[in-house]
Amino acid sequence: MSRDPLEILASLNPVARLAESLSSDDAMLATIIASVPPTTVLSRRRRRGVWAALGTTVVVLGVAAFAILRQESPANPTRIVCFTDASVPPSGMHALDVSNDPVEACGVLWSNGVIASGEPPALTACVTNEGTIAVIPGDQQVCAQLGFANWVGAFSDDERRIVEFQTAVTEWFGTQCVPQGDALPQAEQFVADFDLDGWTVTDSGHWGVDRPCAASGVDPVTKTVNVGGRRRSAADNTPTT
Amino acid sequence: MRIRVAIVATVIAASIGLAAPSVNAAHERMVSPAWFEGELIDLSHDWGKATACNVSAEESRCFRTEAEMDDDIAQRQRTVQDRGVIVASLSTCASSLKLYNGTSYTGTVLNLSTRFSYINLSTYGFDNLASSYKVGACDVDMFAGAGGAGCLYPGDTSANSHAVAMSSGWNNVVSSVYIY
Repeated sequence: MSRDPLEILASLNPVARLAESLSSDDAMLATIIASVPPTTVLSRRRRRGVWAALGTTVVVLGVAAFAILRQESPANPTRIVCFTDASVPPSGMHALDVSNDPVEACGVLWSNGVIASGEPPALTACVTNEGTIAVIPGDQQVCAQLGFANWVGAFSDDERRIVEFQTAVTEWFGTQCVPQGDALPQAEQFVADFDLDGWTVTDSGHWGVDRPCAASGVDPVTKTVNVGGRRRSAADNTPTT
Repeated sequence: MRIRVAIVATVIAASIGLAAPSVNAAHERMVSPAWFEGELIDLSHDWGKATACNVSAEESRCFRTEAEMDDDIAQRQRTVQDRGVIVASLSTCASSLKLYNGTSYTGTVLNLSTRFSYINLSTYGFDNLASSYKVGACDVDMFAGAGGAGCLYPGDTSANSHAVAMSSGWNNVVSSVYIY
């Protein structure tokens, strides 16, 4: 008995007779080719189904992309800026102090004559690459179109605290003449009072006889409070209420 | 809280200049728009019967009396507190400092009005871009560095001054400003 594996496999062929050519085969083949395949209608239906599924997938993915537009919080929550048009850079920018509703705040400028007079266009709050909230004319897609993220839509407690911190520091140093010797310790005390971690106070200089009072600036991006000399101001010792 | 501008009309007329150019109100953009009894008026042109105005960058509102203004401010503060909204209570200048990234007041213009705080221009993507400027109603300091650091701009930046170009060596240099 042969031990050749190929011969063993050949001997096991259950349809060995298929290799044989019969005289009726050609006629049978011609009949098959001439007949309409009964599966054609079904194939068309399948193809339509595939196209429908693809279309549905595209629509679903589009909706999903809309729903998951990149959203961010501002690195600097203390300022907002209103763009006059949807371009970078825009033809004009109006910087505002932060408010709870940046879109509404900028909308006012579109109706009171500062940017335009009339009904404001659709406006969307974005977060620029500098980490600032920018309110831009356009729908929800305008942020992504300009390379920005959409704003998350609300301020966190930490962001509110930074706004309050900036307000307190600005009012303190802006409405009275704080001398150089007191300025840095007082700024450091503000940082301590607001329990802000990682913040530093920096002296910007410019002190002098003609610049004896402290100016201040709060930069949430670098977590820095800058204090430097300024001229006396008519607002010194003016209550801000 | 915003500093209130409660000034008798005659004082305002003197401070903003009686010689201010007249405004063809129908077709020209208002210089200092403000709401007064449901209508927009231009404070740089005519206060009408208003004697007190609460001026801010967002919205300016005028009243016949200072008492009316105080009531309105108090009412708005109560509303704000009731709604639990966030409001930065920084003061704003009646008219903006305008920085242009082109000479002769061309290109993109950045309007700034927040007073008493160093403003870093990088916040607005405007760092080292200023090439001309118009100062609003408040004096200004401009600096080469962020946060009031670096050299102090030597040109005239007093209220209502302007320059079609920066002082020598200062084109595209300003990084921060301070509005008095």
